[in-house]
Amino acid sequence: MISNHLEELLEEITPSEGIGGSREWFLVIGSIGVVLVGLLALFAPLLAPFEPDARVGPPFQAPNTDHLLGTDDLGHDLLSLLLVGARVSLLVGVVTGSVAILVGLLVGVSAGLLGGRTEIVLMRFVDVVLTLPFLPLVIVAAAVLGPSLWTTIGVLTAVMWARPARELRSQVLSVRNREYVQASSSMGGSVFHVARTYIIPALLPIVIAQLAKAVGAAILLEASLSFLGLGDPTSPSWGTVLFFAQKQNAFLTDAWTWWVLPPGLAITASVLSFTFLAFGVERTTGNERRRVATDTDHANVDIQNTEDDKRSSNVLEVSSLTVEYGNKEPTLAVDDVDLELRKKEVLGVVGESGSGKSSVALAVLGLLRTPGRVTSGHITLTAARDVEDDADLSDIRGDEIGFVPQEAMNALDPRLRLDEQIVEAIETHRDCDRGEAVTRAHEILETVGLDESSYDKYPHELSGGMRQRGVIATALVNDPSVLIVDEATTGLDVVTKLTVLELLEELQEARGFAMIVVSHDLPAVTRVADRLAVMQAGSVVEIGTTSRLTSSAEHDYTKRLLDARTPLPVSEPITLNKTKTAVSETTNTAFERDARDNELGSQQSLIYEDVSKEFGKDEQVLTGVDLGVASGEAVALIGESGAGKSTLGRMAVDLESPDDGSITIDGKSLDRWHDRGQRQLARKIHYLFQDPYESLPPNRRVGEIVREPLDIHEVGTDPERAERVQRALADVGLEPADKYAGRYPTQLSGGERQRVALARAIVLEPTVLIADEPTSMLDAPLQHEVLTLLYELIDERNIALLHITHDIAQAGAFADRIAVLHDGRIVEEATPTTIFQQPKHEQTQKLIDAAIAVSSGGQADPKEQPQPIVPNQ
Amino acid sequence: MRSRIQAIGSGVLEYGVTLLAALTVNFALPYVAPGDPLHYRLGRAVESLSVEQRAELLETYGLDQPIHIQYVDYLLGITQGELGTSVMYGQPVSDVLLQRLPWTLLLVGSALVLSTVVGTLLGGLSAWREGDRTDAALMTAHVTAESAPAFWVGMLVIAVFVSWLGWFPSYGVSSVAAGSSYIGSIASIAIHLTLPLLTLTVARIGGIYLIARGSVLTTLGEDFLLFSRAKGLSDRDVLLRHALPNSLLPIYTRFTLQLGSVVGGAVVVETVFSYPGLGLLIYDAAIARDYPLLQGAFLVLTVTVIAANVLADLTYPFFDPRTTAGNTRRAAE
Repeated sequence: MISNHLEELLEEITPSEGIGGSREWFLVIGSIGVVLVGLLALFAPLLAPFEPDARVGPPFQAPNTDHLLGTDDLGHDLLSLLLVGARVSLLVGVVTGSVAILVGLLVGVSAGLLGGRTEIVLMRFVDVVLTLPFLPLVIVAAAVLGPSLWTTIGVLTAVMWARPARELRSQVLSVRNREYVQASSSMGGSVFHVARTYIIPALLPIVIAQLAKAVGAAILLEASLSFLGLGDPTSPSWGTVLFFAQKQNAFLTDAWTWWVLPPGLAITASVLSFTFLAFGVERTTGNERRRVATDTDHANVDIQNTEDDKRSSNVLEVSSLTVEYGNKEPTLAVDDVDLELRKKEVLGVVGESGSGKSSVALAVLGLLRTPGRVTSGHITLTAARDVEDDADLSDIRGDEIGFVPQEAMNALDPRLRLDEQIVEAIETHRDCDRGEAVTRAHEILETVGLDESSYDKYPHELSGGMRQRGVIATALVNDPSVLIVDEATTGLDVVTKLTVLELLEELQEARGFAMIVVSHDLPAVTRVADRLAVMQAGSVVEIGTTSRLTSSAEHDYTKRLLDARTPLPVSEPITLNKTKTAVSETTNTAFERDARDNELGSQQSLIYEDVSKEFGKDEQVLTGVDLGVASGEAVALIGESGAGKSTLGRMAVDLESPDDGSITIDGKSLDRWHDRGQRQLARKIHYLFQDPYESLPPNRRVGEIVREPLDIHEVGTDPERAERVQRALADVGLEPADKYAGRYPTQLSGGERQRVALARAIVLEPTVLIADEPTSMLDAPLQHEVLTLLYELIDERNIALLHITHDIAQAGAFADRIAVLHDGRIVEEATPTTIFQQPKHEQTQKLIDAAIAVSSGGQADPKEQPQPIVPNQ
Repeated sequence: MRSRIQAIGSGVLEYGVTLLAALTVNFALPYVAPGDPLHYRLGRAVESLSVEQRAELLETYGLDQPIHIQYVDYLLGITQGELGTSVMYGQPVSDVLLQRLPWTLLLVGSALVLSTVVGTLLGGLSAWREGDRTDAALMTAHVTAESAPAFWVGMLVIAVFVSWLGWFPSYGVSSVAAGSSYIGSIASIAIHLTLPLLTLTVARIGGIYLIARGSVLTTLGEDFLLFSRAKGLSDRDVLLRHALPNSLLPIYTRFTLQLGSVVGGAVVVETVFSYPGLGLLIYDAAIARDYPLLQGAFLVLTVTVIAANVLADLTYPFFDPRTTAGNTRRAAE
């Protein structure tokens, strides 16, 4: 348990986040200080005017021309003592710091890399050392062992190594958990390869920072020991000088200015230099942190009462809104945007990520996170209630305008019960007693469909969906006239998404507020919105009623967005013919394949047999999963989030291991592959990660990234590897390949990044590919492009593909077969046509209904959907 | 529920084992320290004893018994507060420790509370004003305080407030001149406490400040803070109702860990101000090789460290409902 406290504590202890631009200052001042002290110590014998241990003058002399800092009680020259003392202090500091860091590095890295029992034992020991009251121990040890330089160094090292060990281990763990490092080990990279390529480079700046800190701390501790008379009397340090000053009560006389002050200043300045150096090095590696804004940067707001302005039917008008991010080289996020929101209207704001749509929403509320700020613009709100003349944004937030933020599950304060948080929102804007507020809070919670038992729960005791409802309730409790919903359905599986959309629709109709829905999920938005505003690169490129835009969009970008919607095999008449052909083909091939499989026995490249595993925080389970994928076949594995789809995929590449059952790849069971070494398996199977922003190492060039599997498996000569990399890049459409090979991932768009990940996937020509939600981080037009490419690639190469997705529409459009994972088992498995026309399992039906409902946006009622097409018999 | 009981059970077990290990190490000290056990108990005087006298003494102390009997006797002795006799003072170790304990608790305890409260508030302010002049000034001041040796700060404080200004006495815990009046002695104790307290607070505030600043900064990036602003809360309410309470956990952790080291005292500061705390006692005992006294002092240290950890475990849920008693891992993760 001690360890848990420390964990909490040490995570917070690094001041890695910054005083704005001063990180360079820390580095500069720190480096200058350290170099200066180093030089003084190095050349001390040359610089010192006298022998430090010779009685060269009368005792107790004030500073004079002979002795610039005077003399001590024995007539030693204090300046000489100070200069030579620097050598001892610095020697002890540097040696102790270095040895402590070396030991810490050894312990921390082996604990982090080896894991298991070794890690537990090592870290237990580290914890015990860390909780010891070490100054008393050091004193006793030094006193018992007798004063000498090496005693000091030994004793200090013994208590100092533990903290760096702990910090370095947690760094190793955090690097190991990065997706690109997992990708590397899933491609067969050995511990040695991973350590050399990723962990050591990432650790280096942290080691330097830790070293600087340790040296500073050691100088300070040495001073304390020497001050207590436990230092080496033959090599006096700064602390020793102060020990004698204390003995002679120098601080009670005038002598303190030249006897006490200089050595203390020297210690403080040296320790400070090392600390600054550490901060400087640390900060150059730190990420920029986002935080809430304070009420300084928002648009010019004009709030008027309904009666004041009868002409306007708009509740909210945004004019010439411009938002910039950053101070030095600001990027324009929102460029001169005008929007109006009519009463009781639902306005959808759509666009890809980075188009500035969320910035518009946040700017209206004055909630932009730093470094974002409004540089110009005007907002007019027509309030339904009386407002004070000097009302500003914080008075209307949560009152006239409600807000449902992105990732609403994290929007509740973890320390407060659900109803308390809503009561707070009521009390901020209304004068009412507590009982009344609690009653209102409970009413609104009931309205959003939560039952009584959840009212007094803490957020962590509620499910994600319940928290989402709680947030919507909070936003609506004061009956706002405008509700702004920012990406409320992003990342939700289709069933949950539908529930949220339906709830919002219902509430909007019942309560009659106007709503702005910001999203990149076009089908979801078209479902709820009366009008759509399409944003691209910070500007609104097209605005109009939903029905006009979906039927006759004018702007190219709008058309592209609309075209990218994945058609369901059942829903839209326009795609009927196309789908029909596709379906019949699929049916045939699937049929033929089934026949062939029966003939040849198991020609499957990837087989799960009776696989079980417990996973996740709520102890979810997979129970007896059977699934097979033949070469050249694409099987889509669908299910709600948390159903265990990814866990299943990760097992095949050893990122997780099953509790029970067997997995066979290319004819050999996972156990047999293990006998032959993980590397062999990694040549046959590749795991394509979800997030191309996480799965590519940011500090390596595209060429190196794609080449990594070849390097790991030592395929061919250097020129051959280069050639294969070029070919792979060309195959995924990154041309000219040599131009792309030289770039870093940060210079690429999301789509380009996922193409790089695809190139890395095919460069070794694997027989099995597992693609885990490969497009869920991409915008609609890109999703289609990347999926088309993925399916072309596996088709040409006859690769078996397991395509993990929560999007049944996507699965239906691309895969040969669909397997539905629910409640820990595969509940249904069939061709898309069969699945969509005769779904057998309830869950499948639910997924299809939700997909149809979500994508039916802006058109007719879901019930009036065209009948599912009948396959040609 | 079962897992919670298990967690508490394993916690009790863990601390029990730790305590027993500490006691055993303490018991073993005389056997690993230089010289024989008698030397350990009685100091140098032992060198002039005759063989018969030695044998008699060995019997008196039970040192002629087999080792496991000695171990059991030792454990039984501890349960009755029997810690041996101090070589240096010729008094029972428990008496010596009890004389010193109140002064240490007074000095180090008040310094801990003071540095935690002030450091937290300044750290929170610094985080809220991140990047501006206030933040930069506070940061520089605290890092500098952290870099200065505590004993040197103490010497400077004496030079200024005692020698130069003459406002305070420079050593001891109270003066005889204060007389026997109740108020007079309290005032005298307070006056004597001021300078060491100031010095110790300066020495310790930097660490707390850095933790508080980092913790509040992390909280300021959380989604729920954005949402609390969206509810219409003022900046002050956002900071006081949501940001600070959610940042207290690491600060509280630091507080309880330091609570464990309170009785360890602040040896350098106690030395400079001749303040008769446990830190100074340990130092004197180490110099004089008074092993029974050291043994007793370390026993008290160990027990306090463990007690502080138990306290932390039991009080964590108060700061974060996601932690439950006996299980301090964040349930949400």
